[in-house]
Amino acid sequence: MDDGAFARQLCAWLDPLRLAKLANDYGRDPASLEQYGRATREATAFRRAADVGLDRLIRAFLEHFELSPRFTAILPGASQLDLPADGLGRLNGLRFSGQATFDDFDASDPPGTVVAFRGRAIEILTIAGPINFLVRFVDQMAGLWSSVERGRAFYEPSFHSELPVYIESVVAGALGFNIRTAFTSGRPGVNHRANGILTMVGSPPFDRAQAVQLWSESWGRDYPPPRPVANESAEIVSSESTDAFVLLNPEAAAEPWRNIEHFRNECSLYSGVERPQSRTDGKLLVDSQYGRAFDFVLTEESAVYGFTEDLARISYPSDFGYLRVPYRCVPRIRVGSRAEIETIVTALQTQLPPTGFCLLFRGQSAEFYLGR
Amino acid sequence: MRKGHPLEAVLPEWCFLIRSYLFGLTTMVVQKYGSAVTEDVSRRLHEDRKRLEESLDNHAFAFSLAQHYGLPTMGLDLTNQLDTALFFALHRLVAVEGRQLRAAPLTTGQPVLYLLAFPERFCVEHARARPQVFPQGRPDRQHAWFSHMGWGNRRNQCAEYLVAALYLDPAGDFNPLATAQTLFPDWQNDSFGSLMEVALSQSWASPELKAYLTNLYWVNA
Repeated sequence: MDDGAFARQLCAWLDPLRLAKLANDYGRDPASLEQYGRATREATAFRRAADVGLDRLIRAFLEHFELSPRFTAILPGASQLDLPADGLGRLNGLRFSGQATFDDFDASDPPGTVVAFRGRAIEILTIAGPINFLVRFVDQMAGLWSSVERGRAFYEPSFHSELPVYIESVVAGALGFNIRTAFTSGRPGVNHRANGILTMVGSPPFDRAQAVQLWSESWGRDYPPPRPVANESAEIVSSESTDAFVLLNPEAAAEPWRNIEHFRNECSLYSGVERPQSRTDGKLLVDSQYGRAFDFVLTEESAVYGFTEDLARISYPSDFGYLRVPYRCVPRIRVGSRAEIETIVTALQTQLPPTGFCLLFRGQSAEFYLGR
Repeated sequence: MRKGHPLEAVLPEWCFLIRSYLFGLTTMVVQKYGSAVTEDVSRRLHEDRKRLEESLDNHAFAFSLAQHYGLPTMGLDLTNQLDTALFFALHRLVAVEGRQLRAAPLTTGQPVLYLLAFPERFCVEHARARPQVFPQGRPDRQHAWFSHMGWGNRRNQCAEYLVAALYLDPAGDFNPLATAQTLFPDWQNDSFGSLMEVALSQSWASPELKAYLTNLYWVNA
């Protein structure tokens, strides 16, 4: 995400109430809004903006911000309020021409001040919405990350778009965390996912049999061993065109706002991968449907998400086959009545963790499959 | 990019449209009821404004609204009500004219009901995200939830939370079902939907925003 895109995305937090008030006030007394003023913002989780990257984020926003006439046109249209045209006209194309400082605050500034703005009142008030959000969100992220050990890996982003992940990664990066995605330490390891699935991550060679044994011990159940090692010299699959795989340089794949899994090479215990061939071009093959990245070649017998027949043996029984998602089989079940559905729903609800999860429904008149 | 729309390019305008609408409503309430606005109502208005101004709820609510009116997002529309999900499984939405659709009972094909177990932080319950003063509409009728995980290089991320796929016997008994009339209020009874229609017909929405809004659809009872 470049600084221009960052600034545009932050405009989602422009505040209609403030802008409408500015338009009205400008109509009455334009001179007062053109006077210079000063405003500060405070934080609780950090002392200096530079310690969490807030200075860089604010500078990027201020440098690229320009109030598009699209917003000033939407305001009266969507609010259905009469607003003076001259006031709205003054806001069109407005930029912040003042200064932002991140230290040497006035003694009279509120405790916890991390940034001070000096400039025309109309400019300071126009940017107040995005700035308020940014400072609050950075404060929240800084509080979250500050309490975590620096040695801990960058956690999976749970946000919904580039913008919050970008901000979070700037904060975490400034605090000294490893924020790279599609990461490998160079060592093989195991990854226990929230849904109880164990996978192998890091760099091959993988020991599938040992991983299955560890999994069996941790769950106190006997899981069947993986099938004998696959032919890892099998034909290489060209996945890019048909399977929504994309080739990325490791540097690009490491950017958290691309929404790629933290660890690369995540393979099922029931895959065919133990000693795969490395890619010769140094790139990563990224599954753009599920965010997994691989630095080795995929063959017809890699089955990195697990062979369906093998996973089916440890899945909920189904007489109607399974749908496939990474590392799991999802049972397909035929139902003939609402009562049957309700029985299944009740059973599943009892298996959910007591808090933090919800069972939701989606009805479709047809199924759509990925072309792979 | 969703259905040909660069979502992140139009998203700031879409969020601003929603908040401008909300601002207009709040102003109207205050003007209409004046001193009769109770302290409790005033507090809730303030809390909603602060929540949208200072948190990601601004995005979350905007995504949820978009998805449930048919506008492209990176997520998936879901519900916690079996009735609603069964309606969508057992009906097809058939084009009538323009953006008008009709719900027709399914006569062929294989209806399916997906059950998904989501971490709550990965989805939005529309009723909780909706500010108090924002009028109820289609998403409320459908007890809508929205999962927002399918962005960037995880377009099908929602599938990772699938726990079962139930295939409905077309001859089975799944009554009582919700009706199209219940789940899809018409535009006269859907204030925000009406605003989108107004935006499509007037000059204050940019061409890009209008192109996004043309995905809005209505379902005739």
